[in-house]
Amino acid sequence: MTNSKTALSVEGRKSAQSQRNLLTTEETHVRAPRVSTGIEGLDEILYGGLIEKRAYLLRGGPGCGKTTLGLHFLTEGIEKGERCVFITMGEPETELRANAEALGFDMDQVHFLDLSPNAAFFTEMQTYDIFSPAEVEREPVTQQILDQIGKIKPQRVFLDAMTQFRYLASDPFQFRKQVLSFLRFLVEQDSTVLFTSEGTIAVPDDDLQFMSDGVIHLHFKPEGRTISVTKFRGSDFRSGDHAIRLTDTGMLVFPRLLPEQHNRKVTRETIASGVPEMDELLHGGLERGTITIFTGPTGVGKTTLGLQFMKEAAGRGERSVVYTFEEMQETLMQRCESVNIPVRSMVERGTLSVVQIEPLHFTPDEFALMVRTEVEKNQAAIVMIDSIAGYSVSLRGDNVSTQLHALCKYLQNMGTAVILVNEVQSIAGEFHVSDLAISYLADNIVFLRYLELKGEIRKVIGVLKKRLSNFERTLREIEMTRYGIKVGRPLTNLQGILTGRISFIKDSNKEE
Amino acid sequence: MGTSPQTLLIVNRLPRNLQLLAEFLAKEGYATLTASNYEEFDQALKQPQKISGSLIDIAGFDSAIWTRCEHLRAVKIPFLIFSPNQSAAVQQASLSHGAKGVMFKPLVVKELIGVVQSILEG
Repeated sequence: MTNSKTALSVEGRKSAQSQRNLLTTEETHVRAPRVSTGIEGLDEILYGGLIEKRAYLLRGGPGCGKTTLGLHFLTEGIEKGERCVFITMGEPETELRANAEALGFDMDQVHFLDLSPNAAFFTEMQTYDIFSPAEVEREPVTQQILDQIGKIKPQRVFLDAMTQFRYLASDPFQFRKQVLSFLRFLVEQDSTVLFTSEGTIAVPDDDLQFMSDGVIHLHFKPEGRTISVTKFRGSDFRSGDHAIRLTDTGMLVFPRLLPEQHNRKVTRETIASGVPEMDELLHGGLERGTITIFTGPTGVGKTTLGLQFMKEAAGRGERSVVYTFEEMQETLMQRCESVNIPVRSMVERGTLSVVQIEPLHFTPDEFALMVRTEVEKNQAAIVMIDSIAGYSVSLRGDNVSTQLHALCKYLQNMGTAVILVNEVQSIAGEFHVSDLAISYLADNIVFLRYLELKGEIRKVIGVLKKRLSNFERTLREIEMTRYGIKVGRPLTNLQGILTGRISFIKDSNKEE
Repeated sequence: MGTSPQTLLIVNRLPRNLQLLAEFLAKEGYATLTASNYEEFDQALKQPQKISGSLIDIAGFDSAIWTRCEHLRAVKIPFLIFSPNQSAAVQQASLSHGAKGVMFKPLVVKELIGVVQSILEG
């Protein structure tokens, strides 16, 4: 009896556990009421936003975007009809309002409590040394805050910067006590508080990190600006550094892509190229939700082949996107038009987008968000990255290859067909799939290579790997003509193509 | 019939210091006379009967301040010296010119009030 009871309770726990496991990560984190930070990407990192009625520390050096983030936080509250207060201890209200206006923030409804020193402070009349600032300033400052908060009863408070209070405390113990009681006072007024600090090596702000319910860091590194969360009481969060961009309309946050958090039901149907011989090679085409590498030397037709699949998809009304890292958009379009791939009309009809990526302009996180928008909002069915080397060289930041891996896995989970264009350096000679260690990424590898026959340069195509179906083992000739891509019959009378030492097989048919 | 508050002469170069001292002392029930230069100091010393004690911040004054200190001692007005830094020489000079004590800035309000009470009680 006892045993069966124990077994039942263990079974019950297992069942509950498996039920919890069935919930997606996001579902498990939206239970506590959240307040949006006003920045979509940051809300995503925080799994829905800040937990309301708590105090959060926003830290970072000068120019990292602390105040900008605060402006987003307050104006988001105003848009929702909430009462918001900006307590400034450094920059005066007039300057803050002017800067906010320049960024397009409407601060009319935001209440300001300006505790910054005015110009008169620096004249002899205001300078004092008889008592410490803690003795002189703390009481009036505290009183002003109490009066204002008591009067307005704000739902959101942004305080810039809490570190100023350090100078109003006689010792670290007093500072800690004052900050804790101040934050408690604000939270008891039902406010969600975001306060900044300017922690330095000389004056660290570890104490503030301990006192807050969450810590958001803003960094300014040579490879770009990033944001990270290291503490969030009562919730999980997306860890790691995420790219941010400060624009002339505020802050954009690009959460690092976690492929496992994205999923879409997909049918493993194939996407045909529309060239019967090509589809024979692939036993139907490329499957949705797979990663295909088109590899070969320069000019062999990798990009054109990718666009052929997109042309066929466009015929079914499906949308595709090409990210071109090396070739100019216009060149690519002209080239495609010349081989009967009507890219211009595809673009006009919205079944194709050709995006030229400027070198060193984006971080992998920014690029990933761009791709996500195409997939999630525009339902792109095929995404082509042209090329892998271009992606690695053009995007700023560390671990670019790892991030390409994450992006491809995401696209796979979303059921998007991924085409990665890979250029190999050698024109002829020994066959290499890739000069980069990326073959592990691919579900399918299609290779193209040059072939010299009777003094003429010809091109061949073959399939090296296909995870989800069988494929034709023979090589075929491929030609880019003004009528389109032509793929020939299997080259059964040649051998040694992959080694670069070609010879004819006797008793073959007439194919050359 | 209430007793009139005791008056303290506070001497300081900085107007804000004078203002702050006057405010804190007023909260404790003291009246104040202020002097930010020798002229005002000398003017105040003409009516010593009105002054119960004096608080002198020597920052910004030269050695002529000690002559005024000697004068205060002569008319039996107890006084404290405030100094911007801890210095044995200043402490020695202050005591030798009749100061009841020396305090170093920044002052702690509670301590100041305690010391003022004790020198006035004598």
